[in-house]
Amino acid sequence: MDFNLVTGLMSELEAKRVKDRISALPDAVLCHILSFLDRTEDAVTTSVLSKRWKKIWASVPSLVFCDEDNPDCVSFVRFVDNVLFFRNSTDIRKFHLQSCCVKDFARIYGWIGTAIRRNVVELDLSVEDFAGDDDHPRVFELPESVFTCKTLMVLGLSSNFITNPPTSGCFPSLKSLNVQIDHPVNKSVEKLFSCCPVLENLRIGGSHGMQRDDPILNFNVSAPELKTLRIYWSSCDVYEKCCKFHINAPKLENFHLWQDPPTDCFLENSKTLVKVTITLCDPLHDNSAEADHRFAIRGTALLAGISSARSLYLSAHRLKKCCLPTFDKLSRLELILYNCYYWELLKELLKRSPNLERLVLELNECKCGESSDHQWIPPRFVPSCLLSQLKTISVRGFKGKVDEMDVAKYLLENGEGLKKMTIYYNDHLCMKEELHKQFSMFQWGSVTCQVELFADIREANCASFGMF
Amino acid sequence: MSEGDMAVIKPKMLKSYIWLQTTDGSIQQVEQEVAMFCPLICREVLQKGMGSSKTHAISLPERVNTAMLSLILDYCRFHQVLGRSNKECKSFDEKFIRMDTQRLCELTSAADSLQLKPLVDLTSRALARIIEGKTPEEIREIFHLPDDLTEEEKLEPLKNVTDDPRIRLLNRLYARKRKELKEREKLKNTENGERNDDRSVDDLLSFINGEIGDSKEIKSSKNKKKNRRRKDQQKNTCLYEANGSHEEPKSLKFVCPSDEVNKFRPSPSLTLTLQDLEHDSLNDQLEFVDGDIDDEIDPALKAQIDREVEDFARRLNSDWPQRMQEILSLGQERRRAQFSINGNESLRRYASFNLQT
Repeated sequence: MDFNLVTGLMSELEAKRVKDRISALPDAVLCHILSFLDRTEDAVTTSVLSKRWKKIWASVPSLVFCDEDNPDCVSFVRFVDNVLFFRNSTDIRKFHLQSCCVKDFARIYGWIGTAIRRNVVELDLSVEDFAGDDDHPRVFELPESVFTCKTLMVLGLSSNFITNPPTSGCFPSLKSLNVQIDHPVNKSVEKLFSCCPVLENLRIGGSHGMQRDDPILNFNVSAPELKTLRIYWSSCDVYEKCCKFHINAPKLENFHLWQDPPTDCFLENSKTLVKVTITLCDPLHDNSAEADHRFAIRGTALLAGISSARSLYLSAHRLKKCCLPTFDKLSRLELILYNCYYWELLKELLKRSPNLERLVLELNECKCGESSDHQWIPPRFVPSCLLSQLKTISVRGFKGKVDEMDVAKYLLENGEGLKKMTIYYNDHLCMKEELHKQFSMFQWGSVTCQVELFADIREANCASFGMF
Repeated sequence: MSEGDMAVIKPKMLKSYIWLQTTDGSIQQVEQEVAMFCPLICREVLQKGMGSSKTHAISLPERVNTAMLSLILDYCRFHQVLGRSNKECKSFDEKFIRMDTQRLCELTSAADSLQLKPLVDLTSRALARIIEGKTPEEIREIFHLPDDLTEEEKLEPLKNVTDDPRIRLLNRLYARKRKELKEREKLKNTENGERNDDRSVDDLLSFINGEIGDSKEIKSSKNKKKNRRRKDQQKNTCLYEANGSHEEPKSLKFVCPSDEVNKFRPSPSLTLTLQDLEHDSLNDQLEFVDGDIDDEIDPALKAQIDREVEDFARRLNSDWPQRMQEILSLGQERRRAQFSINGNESLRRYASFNLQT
């Protein structure tokens, strides 16, 4: 390619003329460049670069204001005022405000109002004021204009706030909502989740329960168009307050739940689930029968709600007493097993997933106090999925223990449709040869099956062999 | 070019090629699927049937020279293949973008002229990363920008918005308007309702500007400001002046569009001088203000306006944006009076605003 030659020539020619190439770009492109800056301050700084750059910043459609680095509240407020005032009248596409020092909320309403009048599409607000009591920050009320804004499609809220959505005409274009609630001081946030008619993407994150007088929140999510829901909820269960999640989302496809510890979460009417991820962390300090019982009820309700899932990732302690539903459409199951409840859960799930094609197991140690000696007792009837549908099995954290070998043997022997089994073993005992030997001695139910043994992923040590 | 040679030797190729011509003279063939990745080339081929032969090569825009075309085609060649994972694409992009700043700017320009948005985004992000967190001096050095702003212009970015003369002007105008309305109410049916102010626009203009200069609220040196006002009225400077102590340029600053002051020229279309400002809400507010004068004001609305104006006057310095919004929404409910550019009318409107204390 003569590319190098050409560039060589060019640089020779222009060596003398050091050109200001960037200013030759059209306004729209310069503006586009500035819109990728993380902070509006950087964009405004360019106004002193040269005549060409003096007014470019004024058309940048995204504004990001954050006073975290700037302890001087007064100058921050003035800065925001000035930027909004001196911007030209182009639309504001994105408006992010993170403020922890502004005390005059009226000012903030003004800013939000300006953004809304400029047809803001993406709004992200994190307004706190710790001026008063550290434990009871002043609460920011979302202005009504936010609810009725016709151009708003993405909204992020992160603070304690008061919301009073209007009864109609609420969030007409809102497709994506992200709410972070840490240590809520009031219940008004509950109202947010049933007034979004076109919402497709919802994320609720938060923590709760640290204060005695934290209100118990009942999340009632009712969104007819919702496709993706993510819930990350942690609570300090000291005061035994349990927030409830009730979800009515008929078009839900992706559901991700992470709870520590598990609370009530029920999906009603979700028949089109595609991918579900459930992580329920163990309430470490509570081994009582009562806790078990609570868990069992919650687990049962939760799993019943997700029974239509096609792909499930499940990581939960203590599912032993849950009643599992039948997972008719489940074709991929990724199961994190803790040695407080090992093989029973696997058996139950296999039994209830007639169409399972891919199985991924991860075997983890667990500190919940139960003994780690388990025995594999084969089920009475071979699960139907194992006989025909199950094609790939992958096991991580394999330690070569007796029960694990028993399970592997069982799966290999009965997996008549099995095409591939992959075992990742923890190689501190240099078990490679031993494992090979043992696996070769098993009777394999499927002649076309391939078994691969990998030492822990970091070492690319692989031995793979088939039946022949 | 090797590809071109091949085309001559082998008459029939399975692939089809598109001919492209850059302004610096080189003509080359490019695989069709690669070239069609660029929207501009795509359009030329589909809508105008160009590019099928050497004589009908597609002329590329001026900003695309041979070197840039080469880079762009590399980019297209990679990305037009379907089924690449996100990781692969990111990895390629990161390596691709490693080039000196000058070339990066050229590439942005070329990609923009070919309307190749993904590449424009990629290069823009890279340039933004370069600009981020640097002082203006550093940025100027990297991009060889001319340092052509005057010291005044650079210092325009102010910290103290409470000194904003426009805000104070509004304050005053509102106070006066309130008075005006009251007086008009009293004199509604008398001939004195219309005040003929035969000061020229120039005088009004200098009065406004001068008054701003006279205000006691300005912390910075008044004299300097006054002189600058007179001197710079016709130049590209802002109403403001820097405060005594300047923060280093990197910290919180803003700029007022300096072109606005250009509009401080005597002209019939100049209504309150602030009409021409690009800031809509300010406009709307003033339109509302002026529009009010000519409408019949019913007491209820007038009372409301009075309240608004009082409120505004009182709270302007602390939360004028919110106020503007309120007033704007109030104004939007009413029919807005449009200003005509007619000389007489404007002057009359001017005149009806009694700016004399």
